[in-house]
Amino acid sequence: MRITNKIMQNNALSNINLAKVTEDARGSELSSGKKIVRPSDDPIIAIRALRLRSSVVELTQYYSRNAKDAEAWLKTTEDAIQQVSDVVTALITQYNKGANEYLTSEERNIILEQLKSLKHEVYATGDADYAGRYVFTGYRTETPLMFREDTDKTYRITEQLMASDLLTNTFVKTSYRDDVKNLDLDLTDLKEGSQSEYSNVNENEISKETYYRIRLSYNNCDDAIDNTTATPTGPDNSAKMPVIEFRNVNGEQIRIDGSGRKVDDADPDPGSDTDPTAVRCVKSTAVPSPYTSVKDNEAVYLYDTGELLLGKKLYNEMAAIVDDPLTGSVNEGEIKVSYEKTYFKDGDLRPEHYFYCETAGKNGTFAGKLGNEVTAETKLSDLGIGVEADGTTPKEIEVKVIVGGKEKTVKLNGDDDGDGTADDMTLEQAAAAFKKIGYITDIDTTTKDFQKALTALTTVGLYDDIVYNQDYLKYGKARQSISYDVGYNQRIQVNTIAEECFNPAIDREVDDMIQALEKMQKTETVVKTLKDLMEKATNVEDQKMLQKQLDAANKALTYERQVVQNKFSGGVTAMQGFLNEVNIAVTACGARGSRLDLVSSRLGSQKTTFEVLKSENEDVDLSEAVIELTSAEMTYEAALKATGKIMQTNLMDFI
Amino acid sequence: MASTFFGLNIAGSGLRAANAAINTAANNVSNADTPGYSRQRVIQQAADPMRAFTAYGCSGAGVQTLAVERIRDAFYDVKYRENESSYGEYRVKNYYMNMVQTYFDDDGRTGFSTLYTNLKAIGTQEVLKDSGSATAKKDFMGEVEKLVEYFTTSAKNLEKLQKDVNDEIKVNIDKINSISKEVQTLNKQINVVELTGSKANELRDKRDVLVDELSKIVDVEVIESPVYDSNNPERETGATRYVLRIAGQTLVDDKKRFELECRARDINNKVNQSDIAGLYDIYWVGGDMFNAANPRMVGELAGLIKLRDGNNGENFQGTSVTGTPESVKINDKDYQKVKINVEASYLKDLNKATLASAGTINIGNRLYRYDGWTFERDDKGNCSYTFMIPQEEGNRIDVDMSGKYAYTSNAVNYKGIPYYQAQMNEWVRLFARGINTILQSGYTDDGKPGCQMFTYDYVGTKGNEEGRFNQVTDGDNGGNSLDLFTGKYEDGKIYSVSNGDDSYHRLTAGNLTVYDALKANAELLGVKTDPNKTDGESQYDNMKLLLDTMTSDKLLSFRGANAGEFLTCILGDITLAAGSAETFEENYLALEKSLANQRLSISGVDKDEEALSIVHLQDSYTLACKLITMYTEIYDQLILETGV
Repeated sequence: MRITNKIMQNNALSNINLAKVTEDARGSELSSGKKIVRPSDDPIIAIRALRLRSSVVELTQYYSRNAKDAEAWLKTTEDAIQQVSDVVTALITQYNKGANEYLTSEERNIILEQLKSLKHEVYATGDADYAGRYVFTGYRTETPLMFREDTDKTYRITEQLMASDLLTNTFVKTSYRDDVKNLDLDLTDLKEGSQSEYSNVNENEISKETYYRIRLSYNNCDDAIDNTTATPTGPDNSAKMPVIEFRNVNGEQIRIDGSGRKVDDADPDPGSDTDPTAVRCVKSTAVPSPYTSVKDNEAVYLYDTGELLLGKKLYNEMAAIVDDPLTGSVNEGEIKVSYEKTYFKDGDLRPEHYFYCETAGKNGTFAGKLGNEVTAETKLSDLGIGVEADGTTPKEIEVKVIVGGKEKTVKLNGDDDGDGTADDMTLEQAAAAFKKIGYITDIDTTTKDFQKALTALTTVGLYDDIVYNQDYLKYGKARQSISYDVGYNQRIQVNTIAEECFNPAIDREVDDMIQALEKMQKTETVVKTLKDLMEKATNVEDQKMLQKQLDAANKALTYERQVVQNKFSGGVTAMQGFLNEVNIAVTACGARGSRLDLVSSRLGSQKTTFEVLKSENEDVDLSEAVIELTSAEMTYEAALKATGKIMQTNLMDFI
Repeated sequence: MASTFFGLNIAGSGLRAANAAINTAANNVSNADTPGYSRQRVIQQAADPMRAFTAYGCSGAGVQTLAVERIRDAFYDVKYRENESSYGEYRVKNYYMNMVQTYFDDDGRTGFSTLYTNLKAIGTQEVLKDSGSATAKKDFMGEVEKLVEYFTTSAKNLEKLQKDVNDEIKVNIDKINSISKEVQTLNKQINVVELTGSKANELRDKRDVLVDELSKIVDVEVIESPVYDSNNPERETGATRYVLRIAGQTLVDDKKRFELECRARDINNKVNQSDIAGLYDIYWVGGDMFNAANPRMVGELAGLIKLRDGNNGENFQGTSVTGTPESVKINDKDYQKVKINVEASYLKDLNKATLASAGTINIGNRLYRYDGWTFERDDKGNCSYTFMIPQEEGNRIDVDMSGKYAYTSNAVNYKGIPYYQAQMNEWVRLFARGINTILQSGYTDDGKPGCQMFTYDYVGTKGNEEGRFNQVTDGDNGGNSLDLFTGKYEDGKIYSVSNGDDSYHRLTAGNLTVYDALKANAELLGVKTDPNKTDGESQYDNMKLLLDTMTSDKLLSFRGANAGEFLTCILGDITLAAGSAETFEENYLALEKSLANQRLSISGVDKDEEALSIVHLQDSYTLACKLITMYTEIYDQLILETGV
């Protein structure tokens, strides 16, 4: 082939360029530290790098943030529960003292004071928070476990109990019927100067009685007495009467409330005067004492002490029911008790963390119509929505809502049947109306319609009642567990639910004890008063009467002492039970912590592995790159030299 | 017996020949570095001998200089130009794919995978851990907005790139026109020169350079045939007919020339939904459309068209099932509706739909303008698009359309900009719909209904409404458009959606945005599934669902992978295209060098050769001069001294 100077020149240039391209590539490898500059340089490396980098970011999140956060949460929880454990242990010490030693009244008073101050300590750590979130309140991390100030908000609380929650208790009867004076009196009410009122007291009137009760989780509940009937002194509070519901051994649904006993869907039966079957409400200090006057089939609601006394027959009926383990989705042994409480003190546990409850929303008016179950068929008027001033006649209403930035109108209770009056809508129909304009979307199952409608109504401010723990009453209720992702498909529950360690019964157990001790204190005071009076008495008649009274009081005191002693020893057992619960919670927390440690260390090594892989994939080996660059440099120089030689001469130089 | 001065003439012819050769050599040397110059050589032959009527017979009559010709092999020209076309095509492909690659590359800071991982692994995790925290949700929304910005920026970048490509198409068309004009002029000049019998070497070189240049832009074909005397068909006139064809069509035919022009499409005439306005269609001036999508075309122009219009062969096409459409009045305007049945799966899935809302459609080989369409999926699963053809002058249909083939664009079998736009749009629609569905069925931490997260920013008119539309709804045709995007159909139900509906079709990577209300208030995030506002702020089950959707290919699948692998899929396409463009460019570049050298090997000036020939030509010249001197002496002798 004929080679011209131009060809040689072209070839030389092209070779120099090639050498430069190589040197540039090696140079940028070295200066950037990366194997590839553009993805097309090596698509495999580029695409693998995407995956590896993403893995490193994920593992860093798991390891450096999620695991650390979980650890901190668990630590906060553990410290707080430990504190409960300490308080319960201290309570046990006091109970043991009370149960095993003969105590002077001063010593007893010290124990009483101790119990009172320890009672304040039990839930003190319940409001522990992690980064501003309360750790024991499930998903409600924004709500403290306890009320932070005195509150007068009505809650309708429904507790879910079992036969084992029905308790027997002993009571020293000090009240009696004075047939002569035609009066009901209580010896322990005796004061200096009023002794003559109790002139007809008899030692035989004093007795030790056993009664049956359900101890509610709160005391100072709402008075449900209909004050308008007997002595028209106050309002009718009978709507606040508790409701007891259970399924008896025959499978019949029993509902007992202020109007009587209702079996399945039959009408309520109030029973007779001698054998009433309704719930009755009295104050615990009423005379004659309600503890001793419970009829066989009735229930007595002592709103001040938060007790529901059960008649003997009723108790036996309820104690017999039991859950059938073969029916997994139903709890036949469930006893539901609902009652209302309005006044909560600073430090009281908030009921929403424990029970199904209903209360007023922000506007504060508690329609309280939710005692009946809400379903898709519930009418709006039943919820007090879209009604005339009389509270029942349906009224057409228009609600303005914002959808996609535009204001739209929803018509509720429109006259669809054309009879000239507004039609009372059901929740399902309301949901459809909201869906039509796009305010709510995606109603897939009709059973959820009412919830959607309720939410929509709540959002537009038509409905304001709040229901807590709607699923609580269902068998196998959902627990509000918060889990953190601490690895691929690895989750660790970080929170401990209040009911696992802050059992409201601890407080109530101590209340019971304090109540018994105070009652005893009262009897002791009466005995002391009577003794003082005896010394001062000159009249034989008086002395005789006083002696009779003193005998009765002493008998009562002896009984009280026995009761207190028994309560202390029974309390030790109960407290041990609580301590066990708390310890289980501590252990569970600790177990999660140690699992987290394991996961954490595995994450650490995984992270390192991935970082190494990532680097191996995309970073250059420096020494290799340097060597390659040097060799590229040499090639380049050689090409330059060669070209220089070629270009220097031509034939003319030699002619 | 030859003339006395015969010798002097011979010497003279030698002197002239040497002179011509030296001049040619000088010309060669001077043009050694002139691009496109072909070396020339003197064609000479021994002059016809003279019969001397002597014993020795004839006598040589010296040398005859016939012509100065360029040395060139047309075969290599053809090869070189073919290669130039391919090289030009891959060069632009490589350049633009590199740009695309740079836009989509993930450098670990701003790429899709990084942003998506941050959203998934950091943003979502923090909300999962503390769904009541305003900060966590704000940060999460921050990550969401970064992802949205990624798509809008990428879409903008692709638009800019499409504009660049489009501009370059115009430049190339202008170049073709200017070259054709010069070639036309040169044709005239060459024929003027060559009719005289001589060769227009320099002009021909110039014309070849122009054609070389043209071959980069588009594949060329040159046919040069001699022109015969019409009175004497045996006689060549010396003139030639030079025909230059590009992409199989005549550009210059001797003195005739055809011009190309670019006509920008107006704003209501797009081929693909995400095309920018003002893309050029190429027409022959005063004639038909230049078929730019011709798959056999090679060259820069072909490369640019492929990049600008490349839809991976997935164009809109179907068969009309409407007869002669009747006129209907919609919003005071007369329309004819033409229903086109479609078969291709990419046309049946609206997530993949790329059809522009207004443009032109070719039905039965006639172009009609349409300004809207409605997609319908009937109860048997057959899909059709009904086009709204406004009844205007020249846009009226008065023939039976049934069974006629219809298409809105050509299948351009290359993954160009529209392909990547379609891919992004498809992902965005799938992702937006997947996430919105979850969030809309969820509730905020305080129990309010959740709202959608991804929507579009669309300013314009819809029906009688005018303004800004910022919410994807379930469509306006019976509210079932959402199902067209989820692909979950009920038996016996008819689904439809129009281009003007607020459906996910309107959503593209370019107009993707975060729903206003959610942007202003991250608290509207639907973190839980239960409407119960009393459940507490830390209920997060809907967020968990969201995370699952983001990571599982069963819940949300893009090209068979999970949503996070979007870039892996796209990058696969891009690197493949960029890699092959680069390799081909290198190959064709190497070939170009080799072919250029081949041509140089024949036509190039070699200095050594010229030096050598100069040396010996000088000798010849000197010798010829010597001869003349010698003859002068002889004549002196003969005339002045002999017989005087």
